[in-house]
Amino acid sequence: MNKLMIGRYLPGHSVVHQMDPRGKMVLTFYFICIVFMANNIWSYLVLGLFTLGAVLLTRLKLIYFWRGIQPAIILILFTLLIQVFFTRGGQIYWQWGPFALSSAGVVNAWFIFFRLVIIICMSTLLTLTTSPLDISSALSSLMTPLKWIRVPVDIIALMLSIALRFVPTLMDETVRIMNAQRARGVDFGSGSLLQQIKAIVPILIPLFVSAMHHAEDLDDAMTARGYRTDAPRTTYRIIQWHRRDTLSIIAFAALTVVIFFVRA
Amino acid sequence: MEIVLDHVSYTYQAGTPFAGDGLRDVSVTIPDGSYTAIIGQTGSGKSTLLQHLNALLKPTTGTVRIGDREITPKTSNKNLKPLRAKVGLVFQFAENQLFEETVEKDVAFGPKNFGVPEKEALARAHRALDLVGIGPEYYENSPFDLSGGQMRRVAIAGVLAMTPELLILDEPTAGLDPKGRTELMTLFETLHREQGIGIVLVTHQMEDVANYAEFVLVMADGHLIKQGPPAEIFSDPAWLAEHHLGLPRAAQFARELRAKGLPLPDIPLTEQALAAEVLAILRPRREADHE
Ligand SMILES: Nc1ncnc2c1ncn2[C@@H]1O[C@H](COP(=O)(O)OP(=O)(O)OP(=O)(O)O)[C@@H](O)[C@H]1O
Ligand SMILES: [Mg+2]
Repeated sequence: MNKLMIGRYLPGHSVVHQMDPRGKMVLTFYFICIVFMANNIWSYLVLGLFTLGAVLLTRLKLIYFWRGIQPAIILILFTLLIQVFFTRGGQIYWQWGPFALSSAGVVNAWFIFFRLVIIICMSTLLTLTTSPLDISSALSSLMTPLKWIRVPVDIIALMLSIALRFVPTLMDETVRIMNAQRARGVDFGSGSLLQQIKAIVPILIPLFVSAMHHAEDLDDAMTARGYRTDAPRTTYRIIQWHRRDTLSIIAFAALTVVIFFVRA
Repeated sequence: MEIVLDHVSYTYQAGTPFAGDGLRDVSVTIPDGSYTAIIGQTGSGKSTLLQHLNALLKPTTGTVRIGDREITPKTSNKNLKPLRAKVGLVFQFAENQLFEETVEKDVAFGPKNFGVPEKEALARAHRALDLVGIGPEYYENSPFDLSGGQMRRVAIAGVLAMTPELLILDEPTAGLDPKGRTELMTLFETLHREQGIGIVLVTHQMEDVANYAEFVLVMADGHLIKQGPPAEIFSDPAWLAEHHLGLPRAAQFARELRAKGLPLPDIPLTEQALAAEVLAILRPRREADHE
């Protein structure tokens, strides 16, 4: 559980770390859209190099990106298999019933493989270099226009940052509770399916109880310090737009232009 | 059951940027049936050490021998159950592990996991609850309706009901009232003396160390920096202060008496010893005054 890198933030001082989180989020989303426009080897090559460049700019060890991709590997392979065997077109190398191995299928599978890897890399990059706090302030800043239609943006942002804040706490707690129950003779990950499902109850209930305790304590602490839902909020950390953010937008615009030229 | 740690190191979250050392090259023997106390500043690795004693954590390097089982970094997680039946571990804030509908069911959970039949497990649960001072009127209550201190007692009973040979306690009395504290400490002492159960106790209470422990391990920053009987550990107040530890109250009081000029022959660790020494000095004086 500790090796899981999805959603993990690794502090650092690279350009990517220092970017405006709003810009980072919007650009990541934009990039994912761009990826779907690629349709030949050249466009994928450009996207791949761009991703590699971005990854290198973070100055993080490549292994952490690999850890981000790792959990999705099975999913990727499965999609690949489906693509390979169910797409027809071009030269057919081998056929058996509904399955066929065709040149179009192989090419398609490669493209999808690249697409998924690139997308996962970019989203991992976003979470690795942006602290949960930054993500939630970015979201609340991006959602500001919704205040006009009376969406409680501040409260949503606060809920989000509290939720993000408690993910590691609850993970640690899960490990602790699992160990306490192991010490009382629970065997996780062995026995029949029914036994394994039963083994979850002694984790889930204490975890739930402790989450409720955390929530109540936090409620008390916030009330004691004068938090009110109806008061307008200011923030301690103000996110600012810098020249590097403008530059990154230019880079993405350039990427878009290049992709348009090289795509088939 | 003897436990031997041989050059044991443990790294939390190895292979990530969050890696942190829990234990560094700890070698120690915990003799069969002994009463051992572990002290050390917060974050010094006491809880990490405890979890190696029943193989909840496996060393990153080195080996742990528990009775006749060798635990190495490569040991599989299978077949550790018999070992955990023999080594009962009461976690820090043990009340957080309660989950059953009723108190008695929760206490019987451990024995049932180790294959004790339902009826026998309940009988054991009642005995254990009796030991920790939870009366029959609570058996059918939900554990979540109890006070924090009562929940702690129930959780401790849950481990006692497993009838372990070695009882490992991670700050079992933290946050309890003074009376509850003494009651529980007396219970562990009785189990140790009358049934020969080995005890490993982590505590920040130097009085508990002085009153009950036969042997003390001092941890600092993942290292085992000193081991020996309490008298030896408490013989150097400057060294203790340097490691954010203190003297038992009785010893502290005796030192202050000495500084005021009372010629105490040596520094007592417990209140009884202190009283005896002070009496030994005052009695002859009073008799002299009377003459
Ligand atoms: N789950 C974890 N992940 C990473 N590091 C950890 C984890 N648990 C403990 N540590 C680190 O290992 C070291 C030893 O922790 P441990 O819990 O053993 O200390 P302790 O002596 O029991 O402290 P306390 O008296 O506060 O209970 C600490 O520096 C701590 O930060
Ligand atoms: Mg601890």
